[in-house]
Amino acid sequence: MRNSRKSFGVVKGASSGFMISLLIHAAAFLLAGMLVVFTVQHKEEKKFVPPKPVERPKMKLKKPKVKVKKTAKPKATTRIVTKVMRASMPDIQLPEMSGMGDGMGGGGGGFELDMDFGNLTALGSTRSIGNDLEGTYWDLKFTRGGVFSPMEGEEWREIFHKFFRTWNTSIFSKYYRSPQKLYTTFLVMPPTISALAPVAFGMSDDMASGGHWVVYYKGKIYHKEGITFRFWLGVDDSLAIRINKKVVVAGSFISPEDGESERAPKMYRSLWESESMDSEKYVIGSSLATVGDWVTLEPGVEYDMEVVISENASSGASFIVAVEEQGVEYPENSQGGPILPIFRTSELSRDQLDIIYKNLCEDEVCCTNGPIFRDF
Amino acid sequence: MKGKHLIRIIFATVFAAGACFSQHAWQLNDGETFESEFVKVLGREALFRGADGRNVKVPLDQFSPESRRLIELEKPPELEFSFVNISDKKIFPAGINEKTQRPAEMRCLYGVKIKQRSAGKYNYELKLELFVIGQERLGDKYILLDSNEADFLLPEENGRRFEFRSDREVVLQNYTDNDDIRGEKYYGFLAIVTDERGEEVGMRASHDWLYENIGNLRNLSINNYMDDACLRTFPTRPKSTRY
Repeated sequence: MRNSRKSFGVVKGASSGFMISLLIHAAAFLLAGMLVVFTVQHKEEKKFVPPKPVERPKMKLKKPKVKVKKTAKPKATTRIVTKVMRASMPDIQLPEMSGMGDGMGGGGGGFELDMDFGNLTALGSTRSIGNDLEGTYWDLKFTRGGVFSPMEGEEWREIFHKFFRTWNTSIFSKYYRSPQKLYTTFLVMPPTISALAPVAFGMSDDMASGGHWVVYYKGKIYHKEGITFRFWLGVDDSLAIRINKKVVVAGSFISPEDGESERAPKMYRSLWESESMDSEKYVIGSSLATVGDWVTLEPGVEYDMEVVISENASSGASFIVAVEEQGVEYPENSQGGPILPIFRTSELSRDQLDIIYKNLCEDEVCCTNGPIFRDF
Repeated sequence: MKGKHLIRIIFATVFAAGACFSQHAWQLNDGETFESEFVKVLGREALFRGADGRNVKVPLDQFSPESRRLIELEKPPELEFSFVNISDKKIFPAGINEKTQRPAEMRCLYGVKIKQRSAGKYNYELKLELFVIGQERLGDKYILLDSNEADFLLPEENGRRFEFRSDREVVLQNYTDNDDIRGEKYYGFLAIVTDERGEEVGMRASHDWLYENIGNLRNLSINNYMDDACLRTFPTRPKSTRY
């Protein structure tokens, strides 16, 4: 008798195949898993996705621009048969960079002047650029040794009259002299406090007060092509100029309201008088302007120039020295007088113009054009 | 822990496997480099953002010294500023009479105090730029009264503070000439701190327009006059009242 067992769906031999297949698949998965896990685990370093670099917003810097407004166009300079030249004196507030044209002695372009002037003031700077006037300061309120000893009465006037006769600075030697010299290429100190001069020349705080001071400038001037000109002065209190030892102008404060008065007589009365009908007609600075004698400089020739400036006993002081070139017509200001260029031995820098402009009224003088008194 | 670390690695692997490799800006110790947007430092790890927006953390000690320095520079300190204005009124002796007496002036020294108010160390050099602005009394132009630069650190032993004071005495005048008020007055200041890369770390300004025009302001020199765009201009001219 044979035993037979019924089997349900199980084929003999099939179960082992299935198991083998299962084992193979399991092994494959395990191998795959091991590969991932072990591979990564062996590598301590991670690989990173390199995403796109992100742009960081940066502050946009504006390109600085210097705006120059044209408030008046300069007129072209022309030569007329009658030898009268028209000066181009553009609006002072924003002067043109260009020069005036032929025959006007150059000028313009001073903003590019990039020099280290040291400590810069309206009376000059502590560094010389070569073709400048050297300034010396005496304070007549103090003795030579620095003791406060103010003058009385008319002593002040007598000292200057004495100096005017010889131009010998030893007259001031008994008074205090500042060791600081200043060097200037222009003679413009618009109306300001009288104490500005002692401060500029380095006087200490307990000595730097206004009144009874004198500044003496000296230097060489030239003109490349030769020139005939005269000085115009607007001063408070007084100023005189000598060229090659000849006085060419001497002015003092003349009130625009009262003119010369007994209370404020002209410093150099009876010593020098202007021969010009235009003298004491127009205001420059704080005073009616004094017009000097005509001066002729030969081409390229060296001349000695001396300037003495004095201040009496008032709160304010100023001096503005301008030049009128013979045969030139100048534009008119609101007073009906000429807008003249200032005296200068070099173009003025932007810093120098700032110092002048902050106290200089518009419409009186021009600081950027006109003749330059140098030999190049 | 191990499991979490393993998951992180797998993430990174998948991340890397799915992406394409390109030029790298951050460098690892093994010389490998990558480019990515730095987000911030979290403890001892640096957080980066990938192109797909996912964040990835990398331990700081895996970076090269140069990259680590750059990462630390990306975490600048938060700074607090206090402007310093030491002003003294100077009155002068009478002289000959009260007319010739020199008008009183303000003598001023300016500076700034800087303090780190965020936690953590920042051991890299910083640069301070300080601008002090005045205004003319006659008109409405501004004046650059003082301008300074100073390099500094914020060491722990100093309480992470720095104080700067200019050695330039600024003189402000105030007087009358022919009924016009002349001189100048203090207006405001701007202080900017940058790191060694030139990136701004902190800033404080009395008026926003000073900061907005910093490019122009940097081109000016002390005593220059300027307008409200910090462009150099001339001072206001007085009007004549004598004619």
